[in-house]
Amino acid sequence: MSTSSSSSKKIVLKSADNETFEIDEIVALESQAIKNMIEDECADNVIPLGNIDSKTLSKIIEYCKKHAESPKKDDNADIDEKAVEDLKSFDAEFAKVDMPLIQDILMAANFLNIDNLIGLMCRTIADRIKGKTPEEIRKILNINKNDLLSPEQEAKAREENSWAFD
Amino acid sequence: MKPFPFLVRFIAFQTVSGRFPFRNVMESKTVEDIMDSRLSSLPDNIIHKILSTVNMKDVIKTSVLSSRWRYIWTSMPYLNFSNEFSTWHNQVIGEFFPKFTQFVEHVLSHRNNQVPVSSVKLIFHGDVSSGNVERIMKYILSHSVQQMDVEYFFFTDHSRWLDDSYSVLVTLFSSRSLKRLSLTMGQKQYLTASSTLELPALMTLYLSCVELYHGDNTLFSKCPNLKNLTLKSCKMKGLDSLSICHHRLSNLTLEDEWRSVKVVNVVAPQLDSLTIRYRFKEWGSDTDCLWKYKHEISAPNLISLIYEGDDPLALSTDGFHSLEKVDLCICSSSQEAAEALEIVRLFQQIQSVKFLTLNLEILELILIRDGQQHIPPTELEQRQRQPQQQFGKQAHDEGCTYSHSDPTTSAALERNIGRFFTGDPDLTAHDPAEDGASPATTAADHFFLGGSIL
Repeated sequence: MSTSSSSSKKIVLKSADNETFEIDEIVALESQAIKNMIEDECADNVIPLGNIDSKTLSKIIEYCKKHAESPKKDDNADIDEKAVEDLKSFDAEFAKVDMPLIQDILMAANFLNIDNLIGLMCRTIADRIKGKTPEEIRKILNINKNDLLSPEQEAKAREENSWAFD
Repeated sequence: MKPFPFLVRFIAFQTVSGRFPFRNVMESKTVEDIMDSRLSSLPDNIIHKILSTVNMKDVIKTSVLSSRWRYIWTSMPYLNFSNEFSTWHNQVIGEFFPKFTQFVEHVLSHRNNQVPVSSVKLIFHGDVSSGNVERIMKYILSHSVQQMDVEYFFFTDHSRWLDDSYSVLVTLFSSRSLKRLSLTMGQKQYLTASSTLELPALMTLYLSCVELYHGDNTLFSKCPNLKNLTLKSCKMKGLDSLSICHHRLSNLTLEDEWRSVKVVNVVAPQLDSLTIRYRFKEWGSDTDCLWKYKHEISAPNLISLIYEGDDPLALSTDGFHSLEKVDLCICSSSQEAAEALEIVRLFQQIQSVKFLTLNLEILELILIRDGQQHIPPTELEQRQRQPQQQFGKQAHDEGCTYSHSDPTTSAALERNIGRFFTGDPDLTAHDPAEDGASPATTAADHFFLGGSIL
């Protein structure tokens, strides 16, 4: 609701916990899914996002705002070098959150189809599990304990892939 | 999100232990619903994306994480193989590579071959015999790979790699499916290809420190779909020149850090964009660096030309008719009149350009050459300290900004550059080579000087 950008078109997003976020259309267009909805004219005034909570949604909006206002990398790449650096450090800061939130953002980004954000979250998760033991990875990713292999199944998996475990 | 911090910690602890003695006892259904791995609900392609940068050895280890992860690796379309010591530390040195080869073969034979391999990244560290490399390549390329990136990092004792008899990757250069290939050597050592590249589907090729075999055919003649080519410190076997003749090529980048060749010859009727970067690492360390590159370029449809180098670009061309954008950054160590003349000659060759970007050193050179419209050198030097934005990061140290704030200097520069483009006889009279040059008309709309337009 800033006065400076009041002339641009606004989109309202509604989170699972019924919080509404009014954003510039240009910010919303970072999401390919919302872009498609707008282009197909099936976006009402308010877009309900029933599977994204407000904490996750506000993070995603923060990301989209920053990326929407940064100059896009095109053939004037030489001029945009500083902007690219700036965006890189923003991304690095953005990813400094706990694993549950990273996973929520990844799921939401996948739903909203925000390619850059999916990539950023995937790289962040990869960096955190690289070189870790299966036990450590289970802990990092909070893997559902009901889904774990039985000791017999695990032994079988290890045996099948023994060439990767030595 | 965290209504049960105590239970979270409890589960985490149990997970670390690797055993679950309370599995059936714990009344944890609701907790598990909350703590259910969010990743489990993600589609396979996202999990593949997460694992795409992870070493294949670690990827396969995820098969014991849970039932969701049990077979994820088998459908991975991106395979990362690296024989770096950290992941193979418990191998005896002698068994190091055979084990790695075996591992690569295991992965490719145990994976689900219904899922095509879209990319393979191979990173070799240390002493790798060419027989083994070839075997791995051949095996990988028999699996319809679309993209392959190969990197070599040698141990410091590399005397044997300088031996001419070292030649690898014969079969690498033949694949029907490969669309993108990148081959990078980590040091100043050349990888020698002993056969012609035969890659009919290839569109993008990146080679760094590769010695190419030319045989009876022109280089890349068996890569009919090649569009983007980057050659970094590459040379042709037994020659001190590099000849690229290709009808579909649209982007070409030539870089050199080691003065690998003397003459570059390009014939590319569909070339849009040409980038040449010569920033030498061994400036002045041997007599070889006294020679300059010669470029013979036939690219009538060139739109964009970028040049960064320690010398003026010595270009011979049959003309550019569609040139729109030229970026020149010359960071010369000498300020000889001969260099200024070369720059003037270059301006005349690119006279049809619409947008021209220059670094201040070029201006300094040509203004020193032309004493009449003199800008005091001190003034230029002061400006030099400001960061330069038009060129790549590498150029920043020596780059400079021209500020629009001083109208007198601005006007003087405009006059000077305008005269270079119009072939002012005052400027060319002293150069016998330019005697026959006909006056050219200026077509350049703008001169970009460190971001400002004159």
